[in-house]
Amino acid sequence: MTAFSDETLMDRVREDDLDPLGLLFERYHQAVFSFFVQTCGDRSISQDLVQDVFFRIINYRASYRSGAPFKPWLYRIARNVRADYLKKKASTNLSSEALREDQHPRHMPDSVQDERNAEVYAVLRRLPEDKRELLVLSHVEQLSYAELAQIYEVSVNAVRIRVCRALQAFRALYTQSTIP
Amino acid sequence: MMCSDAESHLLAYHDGALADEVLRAHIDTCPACQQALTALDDTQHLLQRSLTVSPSPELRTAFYTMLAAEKAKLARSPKHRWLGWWQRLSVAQLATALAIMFGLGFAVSAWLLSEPTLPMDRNVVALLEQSSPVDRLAGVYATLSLESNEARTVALVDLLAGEPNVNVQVAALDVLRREDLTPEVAEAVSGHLTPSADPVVQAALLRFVAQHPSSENTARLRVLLAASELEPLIRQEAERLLNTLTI
Repeated sequence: MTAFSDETLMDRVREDDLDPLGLLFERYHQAVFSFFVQTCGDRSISQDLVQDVFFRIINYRASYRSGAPFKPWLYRIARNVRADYLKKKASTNLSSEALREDQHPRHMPDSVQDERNAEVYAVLRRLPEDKRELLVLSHVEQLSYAELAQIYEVSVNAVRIRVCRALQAFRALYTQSTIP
Repeated sequence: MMCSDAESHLLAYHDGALADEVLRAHIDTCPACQQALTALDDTQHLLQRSLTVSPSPELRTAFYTMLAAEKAKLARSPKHRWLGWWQRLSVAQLATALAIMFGLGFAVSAWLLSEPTLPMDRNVVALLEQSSPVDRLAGVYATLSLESNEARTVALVDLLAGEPNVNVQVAALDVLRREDLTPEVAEAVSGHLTPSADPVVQAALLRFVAQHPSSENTARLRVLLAASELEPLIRQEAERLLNTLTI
């Protein structure tokens, strides 16, 4: 563990020294933001959700086990924040128009300039949430299978099988959408 | 051995992690599985081309505002005041202090038990009325601990009416944006969106207005856009929002 590893910094935050959280924010806020945009669709809401993640890190800092890998812990919090947001959204009985908005959001990612990326983004949005989340974490956020295994609390082999199925589902939809 | 048996294990095969020799032998020699493997590889590359997204600068501002408030709250917590005092004493001084404390303890505790505890709301309100913006920031985030949504809303709407500090305004707007507000309260908050407001506050208010569409807010956006000196990014966002509201 280096002097400024994520785990060392989070240990200090756990001991009520909150300054190192700024460094963790600089390292991860863009990745966490990207995770929320890819899985929730709205940039503005995604910024709020990122803020929620770091707010929860502060509030639940005592629950971080000293020396445990920080990244999977961070993404577990991010998944919980996302789940809470989706639950709240579902409970407010959104109109069908608003729900369609979520399927085809107006706020597209920055890099959606070229058609290929736009197609990939659109297909990702059509996948079931669990598969979409898994592909975003494994291939966009590029978490390792070991890290994913810790987040989902399953074996590495189980993660591999799930990712494989998600890739196949993505491929099937992508092929359909690009057939002229 | 069927392809359907092997299809979930293609990734493990691809990563060299497939232990089952029978499955491996099948995939090695099956044209359909090899084709599926190529498709899987292509799909992975397609996804890994970064779908890059970047947050706006407001996120960083909001985060560091929150961090400052949490640090201020922590510095004021009784636990930290107590520990600081403790660490400065020698053993003899500590023993004397403890003896005095026990001696006074019975009298003091009786007095304390007879006094009503200050309700949490008053402490939060006190923070919001402090002259230091750092204290007021702490007060904004302290409202999140209030059980009553109404108390939180009232406190923050009152704060916004006269708050000069940009960071405190943005923090209050961020908290209010997550609340279920009555149309009257939403209108009171939206009323702060004027051409003379600070651009960072204007950005926060535009996010607020996006969640509270109304004919008044549509008119407000038109007034904002008519201003000659408007930050380009604010103008762009206001135009986008006006188009959305007038569809």
